[in-house]
Order: sequence, then structure tokens, then C-alpha cells
Amino acid sequence: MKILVAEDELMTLKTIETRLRRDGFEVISTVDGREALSQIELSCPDLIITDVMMPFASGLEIVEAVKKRSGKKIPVIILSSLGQENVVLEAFELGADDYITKPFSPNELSVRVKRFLPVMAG
Amino acid sequence: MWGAKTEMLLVIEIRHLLWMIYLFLGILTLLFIFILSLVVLKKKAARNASRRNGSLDEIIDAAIFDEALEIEKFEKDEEIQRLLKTEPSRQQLIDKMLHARKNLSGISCDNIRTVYNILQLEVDSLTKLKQKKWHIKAKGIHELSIMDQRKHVLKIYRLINDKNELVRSEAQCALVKFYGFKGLRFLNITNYAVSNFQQIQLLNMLKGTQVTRPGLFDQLLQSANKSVVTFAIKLANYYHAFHLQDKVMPFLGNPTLEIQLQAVRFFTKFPSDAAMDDMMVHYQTGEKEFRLAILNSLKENGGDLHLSFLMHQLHDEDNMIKLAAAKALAAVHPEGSAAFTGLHSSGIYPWTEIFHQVKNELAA
Repeated sequence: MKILVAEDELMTLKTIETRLRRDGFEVISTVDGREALSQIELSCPDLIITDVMMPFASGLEIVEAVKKRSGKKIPVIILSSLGQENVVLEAFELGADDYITKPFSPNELSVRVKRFLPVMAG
Repeated sequence: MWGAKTEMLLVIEIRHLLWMIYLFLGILTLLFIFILSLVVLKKKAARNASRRNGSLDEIIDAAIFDEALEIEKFEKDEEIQRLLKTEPSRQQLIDKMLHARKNLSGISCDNIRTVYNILQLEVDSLTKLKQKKWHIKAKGIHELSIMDQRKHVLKIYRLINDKNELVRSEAQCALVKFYGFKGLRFLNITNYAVSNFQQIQLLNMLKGTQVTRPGLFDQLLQSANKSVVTFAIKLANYYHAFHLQDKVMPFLGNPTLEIQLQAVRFFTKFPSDAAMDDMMVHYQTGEKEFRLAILNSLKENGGDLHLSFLMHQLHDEDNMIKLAAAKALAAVHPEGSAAFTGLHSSGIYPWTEIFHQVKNELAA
């Protein structure tokens, strides 16, 4: 199963990457929104984890693009900072499936990702 | 004769020229060797740094992802001990740990603190507290605070009155991070003014905390430090401590403007008839900013009782006061704007502008 992680903060990206790899997922990492959008078309991931604030395209733009896309349904988990309640609400309105607040627990991230396994399996 | 002299001069010049070329080539060769060795050394250093970085990342990964932390692995691992012999490596590891602690929560976060203690990195942070340079001292406090080293609270407590503002600020934030509301007791003994920026920072850190020591409000309101009193009223406002109305009321007549303004803000949020009357008493002698704050407060909480007072303020010399009074009048009574409609019709400056502004605000 392929998971696309879009996060511009390198250490956080590495932590998510390591956790998901340890759980047996294939991880595609991107550090900006534009790269994430092109990877969605190129790699067709089964799940997307995206930060909200990113260069070139925000997490919300990614949610919007994914939900407008025809074909396979890809769940999207938003990574937001504390106090970004409005952003989270907007993300849900656009069709985001779940959100994780930073600072986050890698174990919680793992559990939340696994909840989407049936959807990911199609 | 002339020809021989010229030939000799030419010969000497060619010899000199050759020497110069040799010298130049020599310098070039030396320079080349120097640059080459510099590149080799730099590459070696980068290779070492990358290897060291990788090893440090492994320590962090072990702390983050191994739920059952193998303490012995960190205590006895020769590779780790060798790696942490140098000060830059230890600092690099501390920086990585700080970053991870700020971004993670749960067991991983606790594990990082455990590893920080096992590897005795706290010693490095404590050493920084003894340094003379303020930024090193502040960094040491920050490290101990992020790593939740409450056992060293006394060493941090001693720095809350440091002559450097940033050191003081870090020490004060560390106490609030450790103990929440209770940590604010440092305000009882702080000699310096608590800056506005620091007050905002402290309020931010108090988000989600409970009042664990209610008596602290009284102590802070009696402080001789004006900035502490200002902050205490802000705190009362923040924690919805409306039971402090009687204790905050005397500050409406305080000689310090910032304290007066905070008191008005408190009563705007938790109004009382007695406070409203008191505001009217102090209005006449107050500064313009204080009077504007009272008029804004009346806009929120005023009633029919204040109509005549507000109408009187429409004739104040200051246009800002006129505008604030007009806004309050329009807000407190449905027919309030009628009081200045006549003035607007007369076309006298600034009544047309005030009328349109209030009209637009009401429409919005």
C-alpha cells in the first residue's frame, strides 16, 4: 500500500516516513504542495497525509484536488497545528477524511492510518 | 656602445622575468596544493558529519519508535559513548531532541526526555546556565524547559531576575511550562517590569490550564510592580475571575494609564453598576485613551442611564471622543443616532463623516 506524505518540515517528514515504513507501508515523500500534486497523478497513492501550510500549494488545495479527481477514492489525513480549528473545519468541508494535530504521537498516527486500511484495499 | 648596453639590460630583464615566472608558478603550485587539501579536508569533515548525523538520528529514532526503551543500550553502547565524547556532537543531539520534543507527543516524547537524562545531556544544559553570554544562558534554560527538567527548577528560579531580559523571559516561561498557573508565583518577587510581549507569551502558555492557586490573584493585584498589576488584571480577565470585581475596581482610579485601561477592559467583560458609576467618576480626570476605553465600554454595556452623559460627550473638543460617544449612543439606544442627526444636517465638520461611519457600522 502506498502512502503519500506531504510535509515541508524535514524532521517531521522523516518521523512520519519511518513510522509508516516500520508499519510496512510504501512511502512517497514530498516537501511541497506542487510536488505532492504531481505525485498524486504519477504514483496514484492509496492514502495521503498532508500538512496544511506548505510552499507552492497548501494542504487544502491538495484535498480539493484529490476530492475533485475522478476514479479511485483516496482518503486524506490533514496535519494541522494547534489552534488551526478554522483550517481543520475548512478541510473537512472540502472532503478531508481525518486530521492530526501537531505535536502528534507517531503511535496515534499509525492507528489513524490503519483505520483506512479497508478503504485503501478498495 | 649604446647597442651593447641595451642588450645587457634586456638580458637582465629576461633573467628577472624568468625568476618572476618561477616564483609565480611556485605560488600557484602551493595555492593549488592548499586548495586541494582544503577540499579533501572539507569532504572528510562533511563525510564525518553525515556519518555522525546518521548515528545521532539512530539514537533519536530508537527513542521515538521503541516503546519499550532499552536503557542499557544507551548506557553501555560504546558507539554512542564514543560519539558523545565531543561537545559539538552532544549539542547536535540536544538540538535534534528539542526539535523532536516540540513536534511529538505521547510515549515518544517521554522517551526522548528519558534518553536525554540517561545520556546526561542535562549536564550540558546546566553548564550553559553558568556562562556569561546571555544567549548561551537563555539556550540552557530553554533546553531544560523543553526537556521538562523540573528537578533543576531552583537553578532556573535564580534567573528570573537576571539583568538580561531574554534570560529572565526564558526562566519565567520555564516555570509556567513546569507548573502552569502555579508557576506564576515568580511574579511575587520579580524586580523588573514584565514586558507586554512577555505577558502575551505567558498567557499563551497558560492556555488550557486551571487556576490552581486562587490566592495568587490577590497577591499579584497588591504588587508594587505596575506591570505585575496590569498582568494580574489581564489574568483575572483571562480566567473569568469575575469574583474579583471589588478588588479590580480601585484600579479604575490608578495613576498608571495601562492599569486603568486593563481595569476598564475587565469591567467591559464583567460589568457591574458600581464599576460603571466609578468609571463616570474617573472619566473627567482621565487621559484621552482612558476616556475612549470607557466610551467603548459603554457601547457594550451602557443603557438609558448613560444617554445624557454620552450626549454631553458629543460636544467634546476631540473628534475621536465625539466619534466614540456617537458610536456608543447608537449602540445603547435604538433612537441614539437621532442625537447627532441634527448635527449632521448642519453640515459642520466632522459630523457628516461621523454620521456616515456610524451608519455604515450599524449596517454591517
